[in-house]
Amino acid sequence: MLKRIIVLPLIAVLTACTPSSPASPAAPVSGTPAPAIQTEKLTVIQTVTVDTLDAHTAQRPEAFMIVARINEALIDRNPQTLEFIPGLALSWRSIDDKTWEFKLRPGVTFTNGEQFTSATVKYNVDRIIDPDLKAAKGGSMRPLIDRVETPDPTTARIVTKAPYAMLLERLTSFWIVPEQFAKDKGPDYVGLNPIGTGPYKFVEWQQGTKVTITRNDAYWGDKPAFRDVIFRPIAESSTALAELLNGSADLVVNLAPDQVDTVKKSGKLDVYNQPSVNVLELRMDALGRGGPNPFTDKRVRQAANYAINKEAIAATLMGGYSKVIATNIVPQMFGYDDSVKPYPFDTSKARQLLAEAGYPNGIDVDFLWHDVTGFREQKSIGEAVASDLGKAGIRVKLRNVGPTEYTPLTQAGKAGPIFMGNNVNGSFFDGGFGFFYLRKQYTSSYYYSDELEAMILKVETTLDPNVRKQTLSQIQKLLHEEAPYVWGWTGFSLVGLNSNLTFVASPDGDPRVHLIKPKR
Amino acid sequence: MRRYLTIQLAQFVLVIWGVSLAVFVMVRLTGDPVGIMLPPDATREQADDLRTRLGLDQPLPVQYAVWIGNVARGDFGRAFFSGRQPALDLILQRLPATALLAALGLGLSLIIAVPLGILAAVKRNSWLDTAATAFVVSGQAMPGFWFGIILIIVFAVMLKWVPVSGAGGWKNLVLPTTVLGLLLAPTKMRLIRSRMVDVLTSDYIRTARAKGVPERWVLWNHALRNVSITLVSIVGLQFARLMEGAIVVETVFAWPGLGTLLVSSINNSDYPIVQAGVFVIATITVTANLLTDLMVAAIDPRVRLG
Repeated sequence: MLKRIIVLPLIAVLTACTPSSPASPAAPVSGTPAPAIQTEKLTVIQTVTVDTLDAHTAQRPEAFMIVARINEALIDRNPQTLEFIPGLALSWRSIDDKTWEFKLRPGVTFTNGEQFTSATVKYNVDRIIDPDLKAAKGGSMRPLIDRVETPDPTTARIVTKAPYAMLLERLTSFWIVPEQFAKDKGPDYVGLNPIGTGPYKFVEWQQGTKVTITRNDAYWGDKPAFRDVIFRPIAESSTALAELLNGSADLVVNLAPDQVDTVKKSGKLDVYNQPSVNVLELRMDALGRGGPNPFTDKRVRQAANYAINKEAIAATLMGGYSKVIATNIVPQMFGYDDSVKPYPFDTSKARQLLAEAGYPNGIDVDFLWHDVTGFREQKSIGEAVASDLGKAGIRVKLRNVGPTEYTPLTQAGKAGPIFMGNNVNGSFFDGGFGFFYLRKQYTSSYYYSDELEAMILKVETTLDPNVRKQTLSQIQKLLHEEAPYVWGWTGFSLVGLNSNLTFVASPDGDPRVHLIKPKR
Repeated sequence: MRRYLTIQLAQFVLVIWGVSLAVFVMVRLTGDPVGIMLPPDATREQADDLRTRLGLDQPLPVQYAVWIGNVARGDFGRAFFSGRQPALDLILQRLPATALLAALGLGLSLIIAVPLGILAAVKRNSWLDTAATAFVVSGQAMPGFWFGIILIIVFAVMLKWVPVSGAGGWKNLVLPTTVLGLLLAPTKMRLIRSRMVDVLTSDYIRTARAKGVPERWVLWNHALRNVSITLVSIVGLQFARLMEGAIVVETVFAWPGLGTLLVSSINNSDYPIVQAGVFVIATITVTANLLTDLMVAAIDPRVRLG
């Protein structure tokens, strides 16, 4: 009797605990079509929370992937070829070397009923360069833009202060908000309740839980396949992966490399690598801003480049998804010169250069690093780099700081003599955007030269693409030789996705949920 | 009792003031938030201008005086992100979710710990006592984070009995509550068992048994009453652990409470939220300890009479 009391419940428990077979679509009976994939809801997991949904003040990729579905830019981009395609502007032309004229798409309405016209474009440009708004791109746009002319409701002319070759590139992420709404409500409200002209419209933002957008049935273009898209923030990557494996999420952005095998082995999920134009690098105080230091000597900077086994780090710590770079102009960017090769790994060459520079016994320096968004294995990379540098005689003492310390230190010139940094090229695919911290006007620059500055200005102000390409090639050769940075690695974004869905991977890291469709 | 209450309240105010000072100083020790608030291409002039507007160029004592004055009016400033909402509003929006999780976790831990602790004490040195000890040791050694992931894999992904994460219906509470309850139960169980053993071997219990009082009466009416004081103290002392556990559990299960808000705010250097959140949690913890002391004093007259 006692045995029965123990054994029977145990059998019941064991039976209940037997894992069920993995969920799979019902095998169709012969002659019966497979069940349609539901298109009511697409759930996207993000590992970082959204900062704001104001198209002009958002700084995070997680916000951009939502904002870019609600708001639209004048110019869009083919996600695979990266070519410019019409957005809210049907066409554009250069009238003179400082004026671009845009023919706007007529009859476009914001979801609150406001009309999109050239006046809207003027308002948006004024808004983004308004210093009080602290727009994410305002600081760099302000010196460029002179005015916007509106000869008629469907024509807008953007006039720059000087010839500027990269205006169209910038406009691809210059999303348009409704004028009256933004004026009446103010940026704080707009950041919580965005309105746009895009394929989706905003429904709600439950802080810490989800952002919901729903299909805009009045959209002028192709309607998305999925009616609703829900973006859920889940910081813990294991939990995000569990949601994907469970089927309660359709897409996870920013998977960790060590999660890829698990995703692939599930048999119902795919993984896409979106190689990024963001790069991870080590910056060196070539100018001596923080005081005399060995890295003011080019040979020491080159030695640091030779000292690190970058390929091994890319293969192991970054799961093979990252590429070693020669400079911060990467293959996807206009003007990339593949004749400029990354520094090879050569510890003895590094030691030789150090000796030539007057450091036969090596050097001892502080190495500042901090967590950088988009590079998950930052800490391991820092430690691997420190180890390699040490073997070549550049003995570093790792010093970790948070972002609130890092930024003021870099701006004050005290981050050196060597520190981890990143170049967030974001969604810009023109090599002219690769010099943010190599110019005198930026407080976080630790290297600049008149020669480099002259070439950068030429790239920015020359409209001839051949001349630009040639100049960019010269810049890459110069930067490679001068080695202001230890040129590191490209970023990447791994996306895990339900295998029943189509997906268009793009180097800008935007999952473009409005293009996701069920596979037939 | 009135004198005891007055002293406790005075200490409470002093502790809250100390907490405010600690929060203020610690947040400022982490660095200058202006760089985080501005886009990367901001100039030094913009940074200086913003610093002035936020009052960050003032001496620290002045900044503190302004801050504590605002705090007294319930103004912790606006979040740097999250749509620039008032920081306290964001904290208070998320507090109920954490309170619910904490209450359920606490309740579960008591449901597990009290009977187990009593049983282990009553049946001490038996196999039940050994099993209970094993439960305590493994519970204290096991990281809550890891345990939560294991439960997700087994019960959500493999068995699909409950959702993986997030908030929704009652099923979303099952795993987070289980983890939190099991994290807190072992310490309670160990202390209850220990106190119970002391009480059961005391003279007055021996006298009661010698007088022929039924064992059940001895247990419920004599022993447990004395253990209840310990239980109240344990709950109060573990309150900080409860909040700590809730933060870990919320992160694992993406539960939209104060824990996930604080973790993301710390990662984003969103100072106003961090300040407001830490201050609120600290105040709640100190209040819980005060209430615990008062309850113990109410139960045990020896405490309030010094």
